[in-house]
Amino acid sequence: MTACSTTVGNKADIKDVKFEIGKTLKGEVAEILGFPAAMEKDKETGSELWGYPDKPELTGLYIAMPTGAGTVTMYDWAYSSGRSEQFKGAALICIFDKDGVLTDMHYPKRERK
Amino acid sequence: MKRVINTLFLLFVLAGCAATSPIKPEVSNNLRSNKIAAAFYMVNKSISYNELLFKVLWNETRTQVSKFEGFWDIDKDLCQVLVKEMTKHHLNTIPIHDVLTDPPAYTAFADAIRKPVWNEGERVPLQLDEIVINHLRESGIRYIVAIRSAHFYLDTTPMNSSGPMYIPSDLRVYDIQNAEEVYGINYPIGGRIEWGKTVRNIESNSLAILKESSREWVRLSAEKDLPNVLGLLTE
Repeated sequence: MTACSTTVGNKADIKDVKFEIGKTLKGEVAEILGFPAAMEKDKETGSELWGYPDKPELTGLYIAMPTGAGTVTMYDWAYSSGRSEQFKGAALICIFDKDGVLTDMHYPKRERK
Repeated sequence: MKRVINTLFLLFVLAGCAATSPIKPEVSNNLRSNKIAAAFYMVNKSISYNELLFKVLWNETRTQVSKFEGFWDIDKDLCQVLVKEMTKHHLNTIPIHDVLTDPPAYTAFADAIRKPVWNEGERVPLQLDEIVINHLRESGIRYIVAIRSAHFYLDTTPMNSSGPMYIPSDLRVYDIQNAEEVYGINYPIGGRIEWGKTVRNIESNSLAILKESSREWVRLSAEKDLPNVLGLLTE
């Protein structure tokens, strides 16, 4: 049985996307990457922050273990770090001005190295 | 042991459903003869994708949230669908957006409906500010019928090209004259959605697939379930 890879992640790999500061619009980013996992708007300036993880969050694990003659027991763990609710753990942060134009991009994981 | 727990949980949920009282006949009668403001409000304007992955020796679930606020005025859009269906049931209904045209008034309504609905297993009734109640009274509105939804929720696997999508919701009936909630019930909405090759196609072209599907789900639920919930069916 071939192992599956996830399909609910970003529509494109963050490494491969090329956006232009001062030109790319929010809608274009959404079409290429999908809508962001985290979003924050500054009500005063109208600017908006979008955050994207590098991959979907692991929220459950199921392991089948033989536990007796002809018996298999399923063990499962479910958890959430709450990562997707904040920008913590974001692999890409896009900043847009009030007109929806991209003004800056950050790659927090690359920048920390 | 797990099967026993799951069965007990299912029975508990079903017991909860069975224990919900029907709407009072006088409220149903009043709904038929008074003006209603209908509302649809999604608290988290987002899609929660949950995918089960087979990894040979183990299985895992992966989750990603996709926030679309600012790209689709879902509250206005689905409210219009709700109003259209309620009107077909001969209810004198207008969208709440047409009444609460003053931004502070609509914001006050949104703030109220966003509040937690459960507290220690008990449903928390909707409470509205004076500013909202006064606007509605001045427009001759007697009741609000509001569907409050959490978000879109989808379970899938990499092999799927379609799947069930849920909008966990509840329905509230609020009496403007007496300034109190008079009825509340869980009101789940959802249905099958097709996305083709990749599930995030749901978001393409400004959420075209999602918009079309959710309009149909709200329409169907308002056509089939709402009359029963509001006690409009007469034997």
